[in-house]
Amino acid sequence: MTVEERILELLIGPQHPASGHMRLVAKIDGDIVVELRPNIGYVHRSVEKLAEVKKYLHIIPLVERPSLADTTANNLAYVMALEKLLGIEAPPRAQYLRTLLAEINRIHSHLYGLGIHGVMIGSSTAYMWCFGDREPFIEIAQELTGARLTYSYIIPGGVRRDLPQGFEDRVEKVLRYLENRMKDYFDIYFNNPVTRARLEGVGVLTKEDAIKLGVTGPNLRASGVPYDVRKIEPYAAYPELDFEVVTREEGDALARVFVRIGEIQESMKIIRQVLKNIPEGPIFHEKYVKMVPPKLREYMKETGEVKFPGTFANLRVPAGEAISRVEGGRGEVVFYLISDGKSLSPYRMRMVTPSFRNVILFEHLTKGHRVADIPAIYGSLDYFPPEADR
Amino acid sequence: MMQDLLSLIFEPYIFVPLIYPGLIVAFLLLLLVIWLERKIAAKVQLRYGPLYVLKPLGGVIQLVADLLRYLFQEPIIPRATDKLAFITTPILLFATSYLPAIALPVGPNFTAIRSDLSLLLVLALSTLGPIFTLVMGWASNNKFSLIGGVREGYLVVSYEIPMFLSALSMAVLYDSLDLIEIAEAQKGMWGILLNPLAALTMLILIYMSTSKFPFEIPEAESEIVAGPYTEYSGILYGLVMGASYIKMYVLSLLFAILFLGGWNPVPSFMASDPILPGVLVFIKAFIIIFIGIFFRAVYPRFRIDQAMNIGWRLTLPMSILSIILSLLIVWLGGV
Amino acid sequence: MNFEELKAKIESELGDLGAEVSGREPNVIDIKVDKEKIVEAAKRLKSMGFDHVKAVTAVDFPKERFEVIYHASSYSDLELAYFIVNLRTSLPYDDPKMPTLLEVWPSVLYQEQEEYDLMGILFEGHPRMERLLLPETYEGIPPLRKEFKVKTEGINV
Repeated sequence: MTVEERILELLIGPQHPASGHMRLVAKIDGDIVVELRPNIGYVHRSVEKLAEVKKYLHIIPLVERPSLADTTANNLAYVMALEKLLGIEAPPRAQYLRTLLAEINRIHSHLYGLGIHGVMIGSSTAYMWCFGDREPFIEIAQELTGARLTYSYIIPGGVRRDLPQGFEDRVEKVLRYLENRMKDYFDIYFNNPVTRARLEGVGVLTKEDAIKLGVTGPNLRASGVPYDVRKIEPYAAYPELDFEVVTREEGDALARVFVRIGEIQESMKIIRQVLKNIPEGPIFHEKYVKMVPPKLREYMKETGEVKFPGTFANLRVPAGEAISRVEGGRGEVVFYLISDGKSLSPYRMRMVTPSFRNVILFEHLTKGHRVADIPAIYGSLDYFPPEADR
Repeated sequence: MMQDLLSLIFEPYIFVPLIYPGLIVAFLLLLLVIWLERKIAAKVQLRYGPLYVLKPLGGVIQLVADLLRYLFQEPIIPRATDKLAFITTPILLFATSYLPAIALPVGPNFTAIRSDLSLLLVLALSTLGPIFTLVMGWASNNKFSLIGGVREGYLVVSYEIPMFLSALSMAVLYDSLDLIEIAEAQKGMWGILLNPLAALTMLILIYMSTSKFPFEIPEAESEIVAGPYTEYSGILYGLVMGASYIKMYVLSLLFAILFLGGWNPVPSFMASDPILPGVLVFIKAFIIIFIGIFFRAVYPRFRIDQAMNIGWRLTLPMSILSIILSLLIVWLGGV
Repeated sequence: MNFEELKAKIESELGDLGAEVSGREPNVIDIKVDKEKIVEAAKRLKSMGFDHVKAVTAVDFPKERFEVIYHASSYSDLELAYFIVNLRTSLPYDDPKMPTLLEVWPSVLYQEQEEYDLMGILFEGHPRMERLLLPETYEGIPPLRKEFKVKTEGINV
């Protein structure tokens, strides 16, 4: 038999229990993957083109939709680019609230990723636990913003709502709950000999390759590159907060899992600091507060809910271009905005999500591994097809 | 008339294949075990599990509802399949899974087939099933099915030899291939205490041979959809899904007889009757099944090469050692 | 390294390629080069430590030109990681072709393919000049070009 005759082409997806909205075209020789090509685009919704016909404020919900589990990162990155063009900066309290939501979102995004990874290697318990324990964080995010996943909380010049009454105590309860649960996770899943056997040494990404391929997020940090936008180019309230960048040297699937766990713990630390140090003050830029009618201004003061000034409907943005980056749960989100200063929509918006930058890893990491390792590697990347397709 | 019917039912050659351990009890157990499996997994995973079908009892007849659904669902037979093989294999697989049960003794004086070689008979009959899984993978004409069938084939060669060796080490120990004699010999001390190594090997391999977690490799959902069963639907799928549970039930009964003292301790005046000895063996076997279905909530799934490593590098030496252990015990004076 | 220093350094490194270096405080540096020189410019940037590309953006200026922008930065040198370098080049509108930078930065593999797919820019030497996000059968104007109009539905559809 020649080599060609031995090779079987396996189409994994888009209708496959573990493929997600994508197709993996695998060429296998026996049980060994010779080549694997991701075929993406099944959930492409042309966010970049739609942004050119929508007004600036309407784009906020639009950019959130692709990465449903990690919406705050896109929301924040877009608004940061917009604020750079507008030349305004949100008041300190709003910056802290942005950080708070970003970290809550990071925790539940990581739990989502860990859960999916769990079921991909066959642990339905890890899946159910992660999705169950994601719930309290979604609940507190809902209390803060009014929505479970698509928050649209961050707006140019500030945030939409202030902290609710007694929020700190409820957050503390949730954090303590997850800290206790983490022990169970280690007992039954992370330190499970079968989990270890499936993940250790699987899909090793060396530091050189990680840098060369431009991957991002926990996948990069698991290969020993301490790159975290929150430290490199601090935004929101991160300059004033104390936290560590979690890195591992091994670069295998297990290291990526442990980086996520470490980041969950760091995020809990950040949330506690934010709630302790949050300054008093406005949550919306005073330039815009002035434009709100006095009656509604009263209402804003009473309820802590921001009413949009009339100018937001047709927000005019000066000509120019801006690039912003944010460290989301899955990695670095980059927004590049060009405004021509004339129209009410961006001239060009470029949105590069972490999953789109990590898609290159599929073909790189799976070569030479077994068929059963494909889901183990896929899950460890925390790859989310709609986010990559945008 | 009624009396005649009853005594006819209690004739061993009808009772064993039809009622216990045969079709009816196996079927009831199937319904109960799958419900229990889902319920236990749900408990560990902080969910409810099946609930609404007969709510006061926690949805215990959920599987009856599922079965009805399977019965009325259209079994879709894809055009490119080998039709004869595609349709017959689930039936044959189910039948051969429960076939070894007829050679199992229910009590010391109650068997359908009294044979000096009943242990060999049970083991031999239990090897028939995987052939049909392989055929199924081929007949489906689907790459995932094919991979699943091949995986099953690989697993069979890695679990069968050590499993038989560890079962036969008990035959060496008790100097008999007759299951009744083996069970009777455990009046004083159970086999698991005499040769724990053989018991452990056999236990691991029962779970491997019935593809329970962590060895749920041939039908690994996230890898190969449902393995050999990918193309099946309706009652045909119901049959193939049930087959592995039935196989587990039969092997657990065998395990109970070989290692857990069979029907001991049964009072001698009850021994000729099938009820009490049968219940005792059943309870012991049920514990083995229970452990197996509990693992679903604990373990992820091994890779095929890791499972084969366990088969060849771990359990094969273990089973050889268990034979040596049996020989040593016999040499030291026997039981 | 501060902004001015880096800018001066890039100017001296790329000066002989005819690169125009400008910048936006505090951390964005724009470099404009001809498409013939872009591979060489990218190589020099890479040897300076800009080891990956975050995004490749193509911008359509109808009837005038296309602009392709490589947003490069560094992972290996955390001091450089603060800066983002925009390596830009202009392409003629009726013949948008340029050499691929895949040899220099392997991280552009999917990004360049996407810009080919959605903007219709041909990267010569790129092994995958084929559809990525759009269906394989798609024909017509690349959707990100300005001449492709999005049909919007009214509220009372």
